[in-house]
Amino acid sequence: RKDDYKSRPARAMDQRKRRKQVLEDQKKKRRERVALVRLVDEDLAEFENE
Amino acid sequence: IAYAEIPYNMWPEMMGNLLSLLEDESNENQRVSSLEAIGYVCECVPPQFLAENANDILTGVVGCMQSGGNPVRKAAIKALTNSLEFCKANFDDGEERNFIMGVICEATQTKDSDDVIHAALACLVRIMTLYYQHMEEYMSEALFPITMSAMRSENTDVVLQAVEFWSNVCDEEIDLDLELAEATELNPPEETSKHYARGALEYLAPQLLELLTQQEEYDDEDDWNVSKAASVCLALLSSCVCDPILEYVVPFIQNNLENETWQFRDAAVLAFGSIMEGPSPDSLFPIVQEAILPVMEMMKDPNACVKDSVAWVLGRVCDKLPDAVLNDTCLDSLLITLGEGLSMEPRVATNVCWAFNALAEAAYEAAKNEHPDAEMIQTYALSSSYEAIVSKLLETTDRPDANEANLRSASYEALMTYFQHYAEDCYATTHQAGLVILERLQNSLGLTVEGRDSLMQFTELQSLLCANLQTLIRYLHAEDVKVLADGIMEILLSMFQSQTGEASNVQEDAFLAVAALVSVLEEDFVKYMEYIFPITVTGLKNIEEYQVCSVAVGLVGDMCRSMKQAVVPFCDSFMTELLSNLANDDLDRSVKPEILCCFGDMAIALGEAFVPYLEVSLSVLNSASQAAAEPVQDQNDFDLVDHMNSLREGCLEAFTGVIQGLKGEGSQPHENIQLLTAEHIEHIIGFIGAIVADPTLDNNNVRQAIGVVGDLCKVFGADMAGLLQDDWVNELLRLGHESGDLATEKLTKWCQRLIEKARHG
Repeated sequence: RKDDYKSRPARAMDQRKRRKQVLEDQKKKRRERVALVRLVDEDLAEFENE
Repeated sequence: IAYAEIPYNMWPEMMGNLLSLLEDESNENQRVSSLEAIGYVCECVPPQFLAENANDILTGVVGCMQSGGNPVRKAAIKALTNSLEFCKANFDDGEERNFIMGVICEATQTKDSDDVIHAALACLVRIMTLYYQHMEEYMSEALFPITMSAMRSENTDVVLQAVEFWSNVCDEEIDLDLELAEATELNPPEETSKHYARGALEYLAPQLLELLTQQEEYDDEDDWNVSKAASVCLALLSSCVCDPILEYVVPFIQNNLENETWQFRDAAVLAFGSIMEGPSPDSLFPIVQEAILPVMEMMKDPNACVKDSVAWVLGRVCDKLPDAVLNDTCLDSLLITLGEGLSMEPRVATNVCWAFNALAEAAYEAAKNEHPDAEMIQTYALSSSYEAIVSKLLETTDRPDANEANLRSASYEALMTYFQHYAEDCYATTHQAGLVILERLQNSLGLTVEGRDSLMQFTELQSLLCANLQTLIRYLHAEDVKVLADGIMEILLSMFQSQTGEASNVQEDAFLAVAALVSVLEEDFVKYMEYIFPITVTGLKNIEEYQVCSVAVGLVGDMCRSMKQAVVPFCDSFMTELLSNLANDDLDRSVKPEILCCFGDMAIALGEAFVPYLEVSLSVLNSASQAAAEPVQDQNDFDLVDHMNSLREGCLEAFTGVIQGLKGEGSQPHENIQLLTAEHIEHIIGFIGAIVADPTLDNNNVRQAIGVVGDLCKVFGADMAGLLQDDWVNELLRLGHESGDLATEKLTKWCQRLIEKARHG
């Protein structure tokens, strides 16, 4: 419970959190890159045309 | 010894032997020692291996509670507390439960030993958590009066346990209410709240408020005492019962903010902060509006503890009810109050830093809500004071007493928050602050440090400076970062080679800064590769400090994604290290999924150049995905569930990268895709079919699995039809459609069409 006493609204950006944020960022970029190659929109449009 | 042997059934007679030692009532020392041993064994041996002894243990232990002197009773209660987890069957049986509860409740009424009372209350705390649903028949007659009276005890330990009992009740009921809110008609909750906290509110809230005023004269931050326990319990009670708490707490705040005794003023401020969660914003708003200015005034209180609490409350308000401070009446006074707070005692200033964090996030969020479509926030509520805040925070990081109360770290963390949450009209200040951080980092390189404590402080400082630099690289305009890049790399490279460069925290943050720079410079980063490449390989080899290894793996992934083909000359070495790490049982398991993701990054970046690594990559991927396809046995083991989902994510990312990389970016798949044989594809599909059946699969995995199936159908078309069995395909598509995430739903639609096309042409 000690950690909850005056628990900080925005906890310290400790290294773990920073790393997590960077990992999220890497994930996002990876997703963007894959989406770029995948061209989902184009495929969907093609299907819709058919 | 029991912990080592009992799970392997190598010492089956142990518990019987210990229990038989309890029978000689004349030998009190022997009984106490045996009970302590039983307690330790029950605490450390996994409960499933003791369940068959549950009845004997209970009989022996409860017998001692009834027949022994106080030392025996205390040891018996502690042993019972440790046995509770495997006594489920006994608690499910009404008669046995009544008997056990009777004995424990009776022990709370012991006249001549606070130790026994304390142990009995601790046992009730544990029972409440484990067997909440069975407590109804004991609550009003026994548990409520026992704990309320214990809160008035003169013995601090007894009071602490009684408060803890109610904290646990609130915890349990908050969880049950959450489960109820998430439940649906088809999937109703297994257990529901009995609302004991709401029922006890009328008596509990005043009692907690009274305990809140019992601060020690000289508060030590590291001490745990009645007033702190009451503060935590009050906050939990507020979260649990919501609006009705206000009726009890608001008059207390009003009556005590100006009390002559600091303990009462502090209690009023703490109570104010404690109700920030739970009650509805509409109910809270007028209360906060009325109290916020007087509370700010209390930042001038002569007592440090009160000021500390005031800073905390201001942060809570910024976080929970930002509209109450982000207005013309309040904001200027708040900024003056907080600014002055940064010059106060380190413990107060540290709390002020947290408040500044919350304020930046709140102001930025408010501006974003106002302009949801804007890519950049042009201006916000803190624009006119941004420069002063950043300058004051920079000054605070340099205070001679910044080593105390974590102040240096808190003020650097706050700076990072401001570098992430600035509006464009504050850009010049952020840029200027970036130069200051760089200069400080440069100056830190020339210093030599002696002595363990100084070295630790120094590495912490360098790590924080690197973290600030990393944030700035990510949030400053790319063209400005490019101008600074040579200087940044020079400093970071010197740091890796310096005395403190071996410290893992410095390395971690320095690698993260390099990774940020790679993302900004993209192919242009290649000019630094000859210098950073050997350092990265050393990082990959650092399996003892696995966090360093983990960020080095992330850096390699960033290099691949950002530098694309320019990374090819370095991939042989990277691949060797990554493969060796995957095969290394000593490496922390959390790093392995990241390595798999890195394979995906490499495959997609290298394209054709990945072919030499294909066979070996697919072979390790096959082993990894076999392990990742196993269903999670214990769904309540959240660490394991998380790990399995990360492993699945790693495999799916890697498969995605391999398929995309081989297929190439052209409209027609490159012939390299044929290197992915029918056997490989069957394996991938088998893996996806297996994980879809596991209920622990998370939404992320669902999206990635759908992506892989879509990619395969797109490339192999009708050849895939035979592998797409209805059962798992339908389940996967259902999960995708119901994910609640727009991108996943779109991808699911895309995949579904490709599946139809593969099946029917």
